[in-house]
Amino acid sequence: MFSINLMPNILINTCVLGVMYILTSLGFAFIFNMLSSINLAHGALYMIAAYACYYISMLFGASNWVAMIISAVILAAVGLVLERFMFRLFFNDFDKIIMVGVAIMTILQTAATIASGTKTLVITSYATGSTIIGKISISNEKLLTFGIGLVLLLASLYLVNRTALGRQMQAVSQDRLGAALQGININKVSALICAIGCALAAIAGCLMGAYQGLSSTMGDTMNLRILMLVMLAGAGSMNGILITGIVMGFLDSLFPVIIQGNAASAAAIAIVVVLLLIKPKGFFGHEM
Amino acid sequence: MKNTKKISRTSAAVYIILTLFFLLAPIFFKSRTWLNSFVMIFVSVVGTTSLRTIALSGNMSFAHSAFIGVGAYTAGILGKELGLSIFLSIPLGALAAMLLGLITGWPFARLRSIYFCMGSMFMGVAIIQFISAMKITGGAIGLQKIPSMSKALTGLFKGEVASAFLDKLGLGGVQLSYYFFLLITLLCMVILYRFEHSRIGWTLRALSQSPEVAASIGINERFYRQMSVGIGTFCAGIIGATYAHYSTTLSPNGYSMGNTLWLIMYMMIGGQGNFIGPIIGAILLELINQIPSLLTAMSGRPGVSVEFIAFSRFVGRYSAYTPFLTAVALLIVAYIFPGGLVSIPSLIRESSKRRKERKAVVLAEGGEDDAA
Repeated sequence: MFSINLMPNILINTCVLGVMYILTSLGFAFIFNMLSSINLAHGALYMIAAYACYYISMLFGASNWVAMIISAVILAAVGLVLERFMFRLFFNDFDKIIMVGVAIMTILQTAATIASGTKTLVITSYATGSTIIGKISISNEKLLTFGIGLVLLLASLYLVNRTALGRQMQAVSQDRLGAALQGININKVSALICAIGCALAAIAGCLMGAYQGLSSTMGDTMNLRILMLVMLAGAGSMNGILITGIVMGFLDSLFPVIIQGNAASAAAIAIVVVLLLIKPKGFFGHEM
Repeated sequence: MKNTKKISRTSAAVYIILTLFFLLAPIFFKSRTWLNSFVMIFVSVVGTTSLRTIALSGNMSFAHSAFIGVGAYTAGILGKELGLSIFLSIPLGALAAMLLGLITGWPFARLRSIYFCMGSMFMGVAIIQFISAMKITGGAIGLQKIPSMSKALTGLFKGEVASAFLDKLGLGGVQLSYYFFLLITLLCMVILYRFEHSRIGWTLRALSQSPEVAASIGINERFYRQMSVGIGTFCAGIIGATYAHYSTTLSPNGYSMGNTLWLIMYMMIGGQGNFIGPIIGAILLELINQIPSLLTAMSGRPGVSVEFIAFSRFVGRYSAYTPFLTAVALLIVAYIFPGGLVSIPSLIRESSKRRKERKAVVLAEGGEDDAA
């Protein structure tokens, strides 16, 4: 049952989960805001990155870190391919985007199901032991996951808000034609954001694969979280995702402690449903 | 634009052939496995077609499987806990699905395309999470011991004359349930067909083309969207409820996101533009999914050659790979035939027509040259 002693643990889990949710959602939000397309396969990409990391480190005996970087590079390449053959080809063609997204999702999920079978796979931990801060002991795994996530998050925020590429991205998301008229190479910017978004999802997948274990449904779970984050934040809102990500992380780490079993995830969803029924267009976005 | 109001001769022929085939199927396919597969096909056909009714207004629902599940669970619980007869519990299940669809559709009716798709996806997962978290539904294990439909249907023919008649026709409980299922399916198809080819259907198409223009000529967007959601979820609910009484066990996994994706794949591979497209897609692809179990059942019969058994084992071993087939078919459709499978005949016709025209032009030019 709930007691005040559990509070530090819940807060730590909130931070870890929240950062991971935000990291994965960033790629989805990039594509959503700037290409106005929905990438249904984003959760599946996150999952397949974790599987790739596992198999690279298994088959080639590479260390986890190398495997993580290789899988991020592979996923970035996948992002480039997706941009070229999906988002650029079917820009503003909603049905086709859904078709291709669903097809990719099915292919990746089936591949993962066949690969793992009934076994439970876990990426070996990136760090062992634990650090004691004050009276609380935190496992290094969580600390590391949170640290990498935070660094990447800050880096992408810096990228979006402070660099030339980020300004170009914002310009494209505000007005595609206008941006093209100003000499911005839209295709290049789109390709870059797809690659970066997929690579971020891949790194989140590799970290979560060690933290929660691999399963072929982890992509679906993450897809749901991504949608919640983006829906709650609203269209065109980057900063909204940061807030909703932390909120979702808090709900997901609080409810398993106070409610037993299946009801925990249902309760978290119930709260989000109520919030969405109040404001279907999100809390931080601009009106469509 | 083609006048789609008039039913074309080819599609009418296809409807009649399909109906006759499924009417006569129990005579040729006596084993229960075949009938089960046909019933799965019916569920997919109604699910896909009703999903298309919702998609007609330009909004793709990702919660459709969940609504089938709501119908199934409502009917199952009503039949099991309250002992209602199937003729009450099935309509009530359908009504429950419709009601839930209308309630959840109300706030989302404001959303369009991408936003609706995300909202509904989310809604569907939420519904299934609730079903698997509740106690009355049996949780993640599922609902068991739902009163069977075949008992209720054979109970209708109580008298000696009636039962003798049934025996003469060779109709057991399984066949009766099959025909009941077929009846419900045909009923849903007629409802959906009439709905789509009424004025409301055209209004929905207008809404999907341009909501602003539609609003400017006085079409109430939310009302019409709600209407399509209501009809779509009603049909989803009724087929789910019928299935609950057919299979007598339900599990929340059968109605998860993945199943909605299957329905969407059936719809898009078949062709979203015509009423017949989803039907063809659902029948073909569901049949492909059922092939391993059908082969296994067939190889169990006496007098089957060794090669056939080996073949069915081979297919059974690789049955996990069938989703690849469907996904690749979807990719092919997306990149090569945007109209889906049903658009292939018209594509061929058009290309041959174009070739003829080109030939005619060449001939005409040649003739002129000769004259000069």
